[in-house]
Order: sequence, then structure tokens, then C-alpha cells
Amino acid sequence: MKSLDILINDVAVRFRKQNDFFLAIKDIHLSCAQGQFVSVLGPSGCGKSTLLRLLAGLITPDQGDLWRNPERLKQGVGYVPQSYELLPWRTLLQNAFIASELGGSKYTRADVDRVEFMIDQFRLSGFQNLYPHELSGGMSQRVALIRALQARPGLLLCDEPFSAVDYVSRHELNIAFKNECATNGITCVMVTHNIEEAIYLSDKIVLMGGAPGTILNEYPYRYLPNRSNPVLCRQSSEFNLFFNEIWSDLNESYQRS
Amino acid sequence: MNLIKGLDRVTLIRGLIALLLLFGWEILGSTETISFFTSSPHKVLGEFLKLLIEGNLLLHFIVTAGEASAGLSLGLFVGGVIGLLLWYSTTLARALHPFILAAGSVPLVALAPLFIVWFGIGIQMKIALSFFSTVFMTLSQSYQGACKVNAQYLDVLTAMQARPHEKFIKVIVPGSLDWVLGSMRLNIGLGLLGAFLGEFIASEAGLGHLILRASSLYNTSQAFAAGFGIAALALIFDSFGAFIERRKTAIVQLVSVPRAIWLSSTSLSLKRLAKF
Repeated sequence: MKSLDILINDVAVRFRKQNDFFLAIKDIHLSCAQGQFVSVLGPSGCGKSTLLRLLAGLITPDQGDLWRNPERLKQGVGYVPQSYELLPWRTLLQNAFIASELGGSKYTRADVDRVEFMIDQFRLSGFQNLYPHELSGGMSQRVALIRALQARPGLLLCDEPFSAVDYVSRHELNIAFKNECATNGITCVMVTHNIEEAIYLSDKIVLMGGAPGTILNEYPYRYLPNRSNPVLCRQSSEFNLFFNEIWSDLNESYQRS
Repeated sequence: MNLIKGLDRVTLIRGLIALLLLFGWEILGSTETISFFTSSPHKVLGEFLKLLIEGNLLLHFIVTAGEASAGLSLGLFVGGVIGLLLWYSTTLARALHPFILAAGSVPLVALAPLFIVWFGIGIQMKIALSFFSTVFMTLSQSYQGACKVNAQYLDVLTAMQARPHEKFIKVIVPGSLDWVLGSMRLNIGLGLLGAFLGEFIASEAGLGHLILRASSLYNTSQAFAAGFGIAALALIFDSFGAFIERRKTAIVQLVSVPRAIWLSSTSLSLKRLAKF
């Protein structure tokens, strides 16, 4: 078995609401192996983003243990928040490049070239010198993806990274994104609402639900034909079987809550 | 085109207001008794020209401008830098808060005699007064600006393992620049007041000196002429502030974006820095 990158053991997080505390997530157990692609599915408000913020080190667990492989943290962490959060005083290129400037590392000409290559790959060439307020939602989201991916991080955390992208480029992006993760051995945790996307991208799918949110089910890796081609992949019977299984679980948890 | 039209309209209204004020003033000052108190535009203009030719008005102007700009730039720089640096430690910032507030709200007039004791009656005293009248306000406003920077931007950098000084340079400084520059322009008046006050209590030159001398001789026209000099100074400083403000993106990028990426992307930024 490959070494672990993330281990969450019996974690609970609570938030303050006026004078009361309430649990956002509880009884969370999760492990991610090195290079594994994990998707988190679940209805809105079930604590998916909280889980991601926990993994990003932005909040600390109130109970239980969270372990992130320090070796991998040293390689950097990519983070795509739900609302992109591009810095408004930087151009597209400068926003995408920021990951190379962090962690006290020295950037090289190769880093600049890589960012420019990715901008091209994500179909943003020609917009390098625009500022965030001049970009559309889908474009901003792609910039946030490049920013997270370009420095080849050990860990990548994405909150609905394709939500604002149009249907056609979504497929293309999915493939480019998956390839980047695979070739660089990036361990990725992605929150999404899109079951299909979760199926053909992931090595493991986690279903969250309930209030406070907890993990309802885990689906390990399954063989699917044509995984690298989303359009073909979703035509297979294996895909449909998997989809229906997840959908009925999701629906059941939705009805119960 | 619309913009140009809009600008023209503003200029027109400004001109009309100025004309109206001058006209009213001229009428008010047309009787000899009232004129003693209020002077009148043509007398002020005459006095102004006389001062300019015989009275070293330019010298007085330059003295005040020098004192105020030295005090102001010191005050704004020190206040801005310390205020932003306080972002590093909320504890220290909160501990210092009442002291800064207290120091900032002491009326300068009350301290002015002390400043003579400390700095003498030379130019240092005016610079110090101008410095003290701006530094605390700038400091607390810059700190507020640093605290108001969008927490989400910081979250992204925190998640990406950025170090505190990287967050400071890449998010806090650029994100609070609006506040810092805003407080700069607000403080221009205070800085000028500091220098002016210094001249008023003890001086050999400067617009404040001129006004003091003129009013003690009941020469209202001359006092007004010098007063207009101060107003002109405020306008000049303010348009310098606006000049800096228009270039804030370029300044931010100069400070927080690595030169390599800055240059590779942007002859654009260079142009922005240079544009008028």
C-alpha cells in the first residue's frame, strides 16, 4: 500500500453562533493515500467546505486528530476556494504565478514558462494582463485552478473547482486537471456537486450528509471503461450502475434530513 | 466624450462659484469701513503682487512648503509603516491602542510651547509639529486598513503555506493601500496646520509668519494673500496625493510582485507608472 498523505480520525468541528455552539461536522474518518484523488459529494450545508478548510489548515478540529504528511506540505498546498479569491491588484498572470513566490522558494524562468503554458492550456491566452474584475466567473475559476496547480503542490484542495465553467470546457478542463494531478502525483481532495464528474475523476468518493455533517458512505475505486474520456465513459453500463448507486444514497440522505 | 463633457460642466460650475464668491466679496469690501475687516479681491491681488515682487512671497511659500512636506512625508511614512506592521501582533496593537488614541487627541496648540523647548524655534520645530499632527492618525488608520483586508485572500495564502511576511507583503500591504492613501490625503490639512502653527508661535519666515505679521499690522489684504498661499499649498499637496493614488496598482505591483513576472507581463505596468 502507498503511504498516507492525509489521515482524519474521529474529527468534530464546532462553530459559534451567537452565544451557542453548534457542531458543523462530527465523527469524520478519512484517509487519503499519496497521489489519490478523492471527491466529496453531499447536499449543500453538510459541511463539505468545512472539511476542506480543515484540510487546508484554516480551522483546527475541536475534537479528534488531523494529520497531514509534512513531507507533502513542504512541496506546497494548492487551494481553490469556492469564490476563487483572486487578488484584485494583480493581473491574471500575476495571480496565477503567486504560488511560485510563496514558501520562501526561489522561482525560476521555468516557473514563468510553466504558468504561461498552463494559461495557454486552460484557454486563457490573450487575457494575461487583465485584472480579476475584467474576467468572467469561468475565467476567474480557471485562473484559481492554475494558481493552485502550477507549483506542483503535494496536496490540492478544491471547492467546486468547475462550478462556473461552461459545459463543454468543463470536460476539457476535467481531463487537463486530472492529467496534471496524475503526472505530478498530486494528492487531491475535491468537493463537488456533480456526481458524474466525481465518478470519472476520482479514486475514491466520499458521501457526506446530515446535520451535523458526517460521512455516510465511501466508494472505493472501480474499474470503468474509457475513464480518460468523460463523454465515452458515461455511456458505459458500469458508469450508470455506479451513478445510480450514489444517486440513490444521496437521495436517501436528502429525504431523511 | 461624455466624460469630457462632464468634466467641462464641473469646471464651468467651479468657475461660476469662484466668480460669485469673488463678486460678493468685492461688493462687501467696497465700503471703506467693512473693507478694513474683510479686504477685497482687488486689494488682495494687489497685495499679492506686491508681496511677490518685493516681499519674498515665493521664499515664504517655499519655506512653509518645505516644512510641511518634510513633516507630512515623515509622519505619513512612519505612521503608515508602523500601523501596517502592527498587523503582525493583534495583542500588541490592542495594548497600544489607548496610548495611540491619547497621543493623537492631545491638542497640538497645547503642546506647541513644549516643542519650542524641545526643538528650538528653527525649522525642526515646524517639521516636528507637522509630523506629530499626522503620525498618530495615519498610524491608526493604516492599522484599521490592515485589519480590514479581505480575510479570504489571507485564507488562500495561509492554505498555500505562505509565511507571515509573505502574507504581509503580498496581501496586507496591497490590500490596505486604499486606506493608507486615503488617510494620506485626509492628513494633508493636518500636516499643513502643524507647520503653520509652528510658524505662528515662533518664526522668521513662512506663510504663517507672514499672516501673523500682517494681522498684527491690521493689514487684512496681506493676511488674505498669504492665506491663499496656504490654500494653494493644500491644493498642490492634494493633487500630488491624487497623482500617487492613480498609480496605486503600479506601486503595489512594484512592491509585491516579483520583478521577473512584473516585467514579463507588463510593459503595461511600466506605462501605468509613467502615465500622466
